[in-house]
Amino acid sequence: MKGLLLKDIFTLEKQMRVLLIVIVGFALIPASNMISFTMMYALIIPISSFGYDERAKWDRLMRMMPIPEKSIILSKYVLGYGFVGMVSVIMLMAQFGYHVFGYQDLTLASYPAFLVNVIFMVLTALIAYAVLMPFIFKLGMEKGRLVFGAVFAVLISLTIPFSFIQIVSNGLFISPWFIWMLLLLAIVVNIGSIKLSQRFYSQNTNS
Amino acid sequence: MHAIELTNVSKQFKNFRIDNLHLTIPTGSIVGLVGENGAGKSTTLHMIMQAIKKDSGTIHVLGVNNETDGFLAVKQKVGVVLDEAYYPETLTAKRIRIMLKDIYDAWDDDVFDHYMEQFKLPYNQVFKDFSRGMKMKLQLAVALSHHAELLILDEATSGLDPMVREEILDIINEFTRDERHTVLLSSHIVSDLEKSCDYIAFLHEGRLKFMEEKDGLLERYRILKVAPEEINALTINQAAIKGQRTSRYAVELLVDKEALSSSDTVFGDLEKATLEDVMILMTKGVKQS
Repeated sequence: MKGLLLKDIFTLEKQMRVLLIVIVGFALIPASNMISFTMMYALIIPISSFGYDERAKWDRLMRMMPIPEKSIILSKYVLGYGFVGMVSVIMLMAQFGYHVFGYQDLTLASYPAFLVNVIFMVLTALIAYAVLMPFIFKLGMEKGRLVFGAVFAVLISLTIPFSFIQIVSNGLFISPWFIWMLLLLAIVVNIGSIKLSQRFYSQNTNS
Repeated sequence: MHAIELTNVSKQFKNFRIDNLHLTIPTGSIVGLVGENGAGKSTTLHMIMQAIKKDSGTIHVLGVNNETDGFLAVKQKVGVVLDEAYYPETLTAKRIRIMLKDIYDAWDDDVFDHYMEQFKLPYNQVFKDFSRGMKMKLQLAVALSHHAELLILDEATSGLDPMVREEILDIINEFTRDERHTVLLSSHIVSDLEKSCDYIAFLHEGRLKFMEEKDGLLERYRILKVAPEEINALTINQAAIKGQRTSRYAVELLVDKEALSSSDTVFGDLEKATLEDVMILMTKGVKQS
């Protein structure tokens, strides 16, 4: 799997540089809505790796190599998790930076709230990624991207009222039970997604 | 021992079928898989590597059934060169090496460097700027850099200039100096196969027409050219005629020399058939041109 991850990282290197600047820019804007934008944006990079693969018809060569199907699927998921994790770290560091440079008063009370907010967005992003992946493995990048657009639009439209309610209700959506439920949902959806992607990939081998 | 053994292998596609394919590739040999475009050559190679799943039959590669868990270890010993080099275009040879080191257990940097030098390939140039010849050479360098016992080449010489084709064929011949090494080479450039193969397997419309030792094959088949008006006066064992091509001025018959009887009368000279003659006449049957 390491070889496949390296391949994706090498392939995406140029794109990563540009997008990292954008992501850091997003992360530095102190608005909670930006977190969701940043997370979704972070997922575009691993998803675009499918585009590079399809353009090169990499799959034809990869299937000839001694790589288990499981590793082929998991490497794409791990790539996505890696990007979401990296963006989370950048955003948390940015918030810490605000505090250090005195732009934002980050108290012991406010930081955990922000942290939970990030966790909420991370879990939402992971669910979105998990929903999208089987579509890409089944339909390919082009049609899969249309599905991603739809998932993205739905999730963003959902997070806007959530953010509004969050401000009004002062932390309804960062209550521990909600986060735990979301975590459970993310795990279940991701496990299901991986199994489904494996099945779709295997079906493609038959045709 | 056989390097590859296909038994009763079938695969149905929408408009095409690989039908009950039996094919045995002896260890230590170079076998050319020949056939027209769409004959099923690439499909067969992909089924051997389990990149496409067959509908029925069994395939053994280096003694292991390709549907078992052990086949992944066998794939480590197979070097593959496909008709195109399907690496993402932003990769460089240097990065392909780093990546493949983690995929092939027996990856050998020294061997890779040796071929990179021999083929005069750049390490840091992105793949999209490689010429077709460079791409195929890089694929061959990769295929040879993990101590493969079996090389599978799918149309590896197509679209290359004669110099590069010669270079690639030389490397393939060099590879089989070790008697444990086997090459299965698909191509529709028949002259390449004639030059380097020990055996020829002829695939037509998803069926194996024959697999024979190349020298024996070329010895066995002859071309008989007669004028159209003489064809009816020809006394020849019909079973000896394996193919026919008719034009306004001449009829060409592909004749199996071994099936001729002493009573057969032959007008005109029996000429040696090339592999291309055998392929075309067997495939086309009776053709007006």
